[in-house]
Amino acid sequence: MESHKLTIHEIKDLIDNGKLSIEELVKGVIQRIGKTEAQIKAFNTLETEKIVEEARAIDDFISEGKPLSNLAGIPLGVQDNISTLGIRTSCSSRIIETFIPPYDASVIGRLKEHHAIILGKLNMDEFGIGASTETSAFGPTRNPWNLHRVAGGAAGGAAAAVAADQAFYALASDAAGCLRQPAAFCGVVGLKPTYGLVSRYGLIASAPSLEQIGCITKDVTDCAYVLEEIAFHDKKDPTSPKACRSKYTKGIIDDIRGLKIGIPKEIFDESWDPDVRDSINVALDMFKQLGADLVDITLPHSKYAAAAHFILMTCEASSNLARYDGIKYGTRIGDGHSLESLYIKTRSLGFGQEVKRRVMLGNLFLNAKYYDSYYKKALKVKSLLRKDFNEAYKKCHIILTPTTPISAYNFTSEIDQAMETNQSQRYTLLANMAGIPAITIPCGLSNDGLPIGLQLMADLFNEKTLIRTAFTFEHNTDYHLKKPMQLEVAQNEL
Amino acid sequence: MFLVDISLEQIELMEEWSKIALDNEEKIIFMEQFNKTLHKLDIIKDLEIDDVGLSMDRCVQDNILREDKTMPSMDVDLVLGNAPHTQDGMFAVPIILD
Repeated sequence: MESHKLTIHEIKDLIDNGKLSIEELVKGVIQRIGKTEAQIKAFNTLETEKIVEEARAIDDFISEGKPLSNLAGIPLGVQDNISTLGIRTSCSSRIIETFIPPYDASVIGRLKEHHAIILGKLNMDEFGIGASTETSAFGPTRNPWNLHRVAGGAAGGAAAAVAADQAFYALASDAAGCLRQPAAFCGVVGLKPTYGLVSRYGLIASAPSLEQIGCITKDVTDCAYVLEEIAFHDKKDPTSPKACRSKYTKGIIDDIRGLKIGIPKEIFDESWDPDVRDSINVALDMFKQLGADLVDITLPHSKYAAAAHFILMTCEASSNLARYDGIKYGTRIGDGHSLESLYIKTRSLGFGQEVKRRVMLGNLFLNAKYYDSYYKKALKVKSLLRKDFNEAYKKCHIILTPTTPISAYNFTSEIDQAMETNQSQRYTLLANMAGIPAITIPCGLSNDGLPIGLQLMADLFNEKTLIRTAFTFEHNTDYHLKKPMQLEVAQNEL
Repeated sequence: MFLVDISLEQIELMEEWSKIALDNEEKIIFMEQFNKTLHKLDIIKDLEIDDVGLSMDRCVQDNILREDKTMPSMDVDLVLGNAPHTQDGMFAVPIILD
């Protein structure tokens, strides 16, 4: 059995029926990583040595009939900015490439309580700054669908690992679509929950008012399983509300009759890749056939979102990255001549070029002279967007857009990750600005065989409706079953 | 105030604020890239939104202060475990005052 190709819910059924052991599952995925990692480079750190023993212990629990969660024994990858006790967590940056967290992020602690198995830490754009994983200090991750194309970013490692069956699911952060865009580029499912739903304690901060930990999975059912485990009230996160959680697996229903899907005029009037346009049009027809009503809506301030988001993200990053000074953790470069020179040498050599650009721009926008024109104005645009979405959700339950207007592109010869690549996230960042949940699901392939994703956005804390809509589409199509064949061909040629 | 173009002088100020040093070639490249970026951000320049409130987190913020009770702190060895330079159970830093 090629167990690495299974989904979480398929594994659970096989384990419940005694047809698969966790040990077999773990050995299968380790073998898969061994065969594919040299081509894809999804992982920064692999922890495969101890996990077979962990797997055997979980098999013992199962044979003793102990009740276990849906994720018990399921190997996952964790993006390299989510703290994992004793496992290097580098944010793909030289400045903290030796950092070993002394604690687990809250979501990791919860998954460990439920006997999840951590395969390792996944590659990403440095500190989440980028949209293709090219700014990683350890080299880019390649798209399993075409090794000459980017996997997307910042969560390129996470998306590629799940798409290549190296991990059954992955946790990653999403501040601008950094989880959803790579999920779309790699043909898998990616969910950014409502802001606050999933604890950010232990997520190494970059843009804390925008980012949220979410999950990348092979299908929507798996997404519901994972969300159910990672969405809990956490006292350690001051933005974690006490209520507002649901049994998300109850959203796994094939029925969207009467659902109103909002079609934002401003976004649909923009130009997209023709393949994306065709796939979205086919998807809209499918939704109508499944009983949904398409409703025209407007998001009048959406055209300002990318600019405002860029300003907010750079300002927050410049503030949060000020802590990297060569004193408390990470790299120290300098002979100790003075504190100032220690800071400057450490940061100049420890940060990559794109991070330096963002830190410098962020400090510029926060300067007293420009604060009102840039940062304060960006915060006001965020308010306006929130109002736009409030008005839209009076007319519809779900808003639909393409996840990105393009499919995965070639590696760039010059890394200029500023506004140009920000454009590939111009629809995904709307959900971060409004704080609402959003999911990407595969909805087609381009003419050159690359996945295309469609994005669904629901109102605050309406993940169940999101899951139901996504599941219904997925259940009536087969895009989620397609696999990256180039990887298999390359495999066979080895 | 909206910026039109960033000068080399401003780049040097930004270096100081960010505690980052660029070489001369980088300064020129960064200046060109920043100016390209700033022109793209001009889209929000003419938005008349003085009467719009600032967006704060929409989450209901419960009182996040805990009770004033002593709780265990992180072990000092753990805290110092990642520090590149320590001395006598403390972070070691260059001399600040003579």
